[in-house]
Amino acid sequence: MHSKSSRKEEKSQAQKINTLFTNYKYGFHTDTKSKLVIPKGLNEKIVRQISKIKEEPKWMTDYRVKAYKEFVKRPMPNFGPSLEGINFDDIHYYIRPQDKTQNKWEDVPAEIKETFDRLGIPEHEKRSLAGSGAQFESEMIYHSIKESLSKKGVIFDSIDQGLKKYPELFKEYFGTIVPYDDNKFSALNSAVWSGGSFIYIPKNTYVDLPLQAYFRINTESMGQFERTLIIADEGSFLHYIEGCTAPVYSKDSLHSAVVEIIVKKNAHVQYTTVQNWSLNVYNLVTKRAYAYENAEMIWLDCNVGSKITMKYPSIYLVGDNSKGEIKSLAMAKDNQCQDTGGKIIHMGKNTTSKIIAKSICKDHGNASYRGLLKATKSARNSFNYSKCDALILSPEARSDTIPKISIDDPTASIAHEASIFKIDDSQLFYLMSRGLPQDTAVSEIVNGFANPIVSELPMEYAIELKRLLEIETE
Amino acid sequence: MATKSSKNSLIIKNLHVETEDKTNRKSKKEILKGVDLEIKEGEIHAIMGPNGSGKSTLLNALMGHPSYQISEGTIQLKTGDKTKKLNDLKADERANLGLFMAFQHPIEVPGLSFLHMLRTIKNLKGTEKQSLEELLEELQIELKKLKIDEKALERGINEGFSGGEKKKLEIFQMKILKPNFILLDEIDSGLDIDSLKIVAENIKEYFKKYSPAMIIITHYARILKFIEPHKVHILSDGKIIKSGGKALAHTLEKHGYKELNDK
Amino acid sequence: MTKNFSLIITPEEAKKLFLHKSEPIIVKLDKPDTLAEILVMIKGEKDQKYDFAITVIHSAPHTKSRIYVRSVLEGSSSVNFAGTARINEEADFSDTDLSHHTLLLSENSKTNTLPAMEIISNTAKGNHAATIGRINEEILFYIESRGINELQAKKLIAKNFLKADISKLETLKK
Repeated sequence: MHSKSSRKEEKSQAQKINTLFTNYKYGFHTDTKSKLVIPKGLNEKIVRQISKIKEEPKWMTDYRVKAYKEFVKRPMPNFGPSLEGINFDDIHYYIRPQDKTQNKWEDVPAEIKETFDRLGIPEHEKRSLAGSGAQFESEMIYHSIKESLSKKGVIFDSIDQGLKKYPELFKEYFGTIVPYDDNKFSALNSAVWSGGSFIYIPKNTYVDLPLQAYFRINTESMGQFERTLIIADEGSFLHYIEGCTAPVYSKDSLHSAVVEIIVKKNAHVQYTTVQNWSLNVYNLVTKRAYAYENAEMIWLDCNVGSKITMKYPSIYLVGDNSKGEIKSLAMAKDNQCQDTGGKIIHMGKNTTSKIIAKSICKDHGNASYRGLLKATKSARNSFNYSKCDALILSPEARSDTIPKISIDDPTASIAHEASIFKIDDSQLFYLMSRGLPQDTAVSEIVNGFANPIVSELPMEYAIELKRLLEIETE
Repeated sequence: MATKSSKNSLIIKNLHVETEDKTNRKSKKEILKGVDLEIKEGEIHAIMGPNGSGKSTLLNALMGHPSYQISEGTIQLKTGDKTKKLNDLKADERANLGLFMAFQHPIEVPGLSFLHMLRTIKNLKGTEKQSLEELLEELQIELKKLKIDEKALERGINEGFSGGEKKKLEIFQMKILKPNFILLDEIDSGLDIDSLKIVAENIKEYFKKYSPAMIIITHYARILKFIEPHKVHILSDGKIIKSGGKALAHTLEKHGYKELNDK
Repeated sequence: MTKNFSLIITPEEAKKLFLHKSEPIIVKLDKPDTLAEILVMIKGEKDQKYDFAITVIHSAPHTKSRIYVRSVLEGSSSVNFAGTARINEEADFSDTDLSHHTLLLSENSKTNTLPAMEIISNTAKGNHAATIGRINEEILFYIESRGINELQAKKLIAKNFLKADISKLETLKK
């Protein structure tokens, strides 16, 4: 039950945390070094320069260079939407956080400002989401959370710091789940990655507070080429949340992130993403998790923004009795393309997977599901249930469902179903006959359709996402 | 919303309603061929008739179902000395004027809960400021009277309910929305005798308190034993062929429709 | 195509048509109020490899398509099926149903299926399904308990499985 009074409680709690830290000045000083200018475009020299600025060990520099060469070599993907619009030479591949010029509030597009208003976002947050103005609050919260977590041995740091402070742990896992040569864009990310989270949860440690990327220093948490590495040791529990429902305005038109997750024996990891990049962004992401014996991995992926998103969170069910779930929601409105879905590979024995995908498209939007369900020859008793539904709201909208199923396990039990939905005139009439005006009725039906996914989000996100869907369907 | 103050009425004049011909999509089929009816507040009119006579069409056209078009005639709402024509109004506009329809086959709306829908409607009306707790209390009281499990509030609208339960839920909504002009489309079909009694009791309770105008469509005279109509009309082939008092319902039960047609 | 289209491919015909890489079967529904039904039954034995594709394109309003594929795989046989149902913008109120159900009877079979839907219409109705699995132990036990040996029982179940979609064919009913 989302009552007004409990929402008020949460707001006052947030205010309490804020007032606790208003007196804390986070070393805000002007940088006396001259501004660093790395030109647009990408070449080996720039890759080496990035590594040098970050003061990285040689192995990482070599890794970046190798990845860059692979990126150049690889052709563009031969499936999905056209990425012709990306001009690789017209992009800054690295900007130091302190060099990032703040956008002027006046220059922020009107539709972003309007959506902020409709979502009831406080003024200072609006500005930071638009990349202008300083963000204090999230940093404060982050630091206090970090302190309480480190007592348990939990590491929650930026990935750049992860490499510096925990080099062995980092090297052991980095690039093992998503190798640099996995695809063209993992190669790009492996060459120019910067910003992201590095998380380690020790054995049998339960992290009860969801960790949020948003907590970390703002400019880094919304980077172009984020790299996140999560290691959940045996028996641990983690819920990590990335992104936010508010539209995030980015001048950078190419975002290519990589997320690697290792879920060890008996561990449980849930990774929740709410993506709402501004409409100029190409969002090409590789997210993959390995689940070991008896481990459980859940991807909860909501995609509402960007111009084009190509993202297929994957789970390799390596260990026996491991479980994987992918819950995905994609909304595409005018000229947007959400090419999303997921991949699950059953390798161990008695592995179970579930995929629930909901796509909504309107105007000239394209919200498609692209999935791979595979069971290898060594897998036994693989069990899967998949349901992919699409709701098409306008005559020009488009939705494709392309579920590839490849089963070499002779003892598998696989069930996949998909349906296309439209706004049923009878449903609309029913709701209107109860007094709901037409567009409210449409919003309610859309929310009802998205409900199985939205209801899985933490409450604040669910409320905001519902509001966002209402706005988006008008 | 419902008041006892003035005698409001629903006036149907020479109503012709057509719909798409299912066998030949390019042409239209006329279902109602000139219906005249006036139902005043505090009156219960029963409409009976053989299958295909146009009973459901009449109610759907009154509520504004997009599949049915009025080709001739008017539907009007008279409140006090004002008359409002409903022909061109959308369903939600009619609902806001006090119309309510209990559907024969209530449709499912997965993922949208009754609680959420009712809350949204109440918020839109904005007439009474009700807290969530007050609303829940009201809803729970009505659910109890209809012997429906509280958990129904959280489920998707009509999702997974039996036919009989769906009918009860229609009456539940009626009691919450408090309409003045009630259209019941075969509310008794699919109900066992116990559920029928409960539904009838609740309708009677509402009628006693608010004196709405009510149209009951039914095949069988069964429900009319519990809810006595003031007038009974027989609809056949798109026209009202006979009107009378409640005795007409008994006659029908005894002799069937054929005899009436022969007369 | 002005009339309704119906195609039933029996296991014997499937052997002739699909054991070598074959031309995709493409059906175009370009006249309104038409129906296309395709039923494929495959009995995979030994090391047979079935490889085929069926595409249906709806480009006229009120068109209907039904593609039902059933495969029973024994030995080290495999099936590789790519099915596509496409409903274009102009195909208002069209309806498509595509399914591929596979019964696994051995330790070495492989199934590759891709039941795809491409929909550019907000009045379309579309469903597709794919299942892969072994014989339900309960059913096997039930039939055996009636005095039928395991081999015969499996044959019976497999036969039943292959024919399960026949009753759905509208064109046969007429």
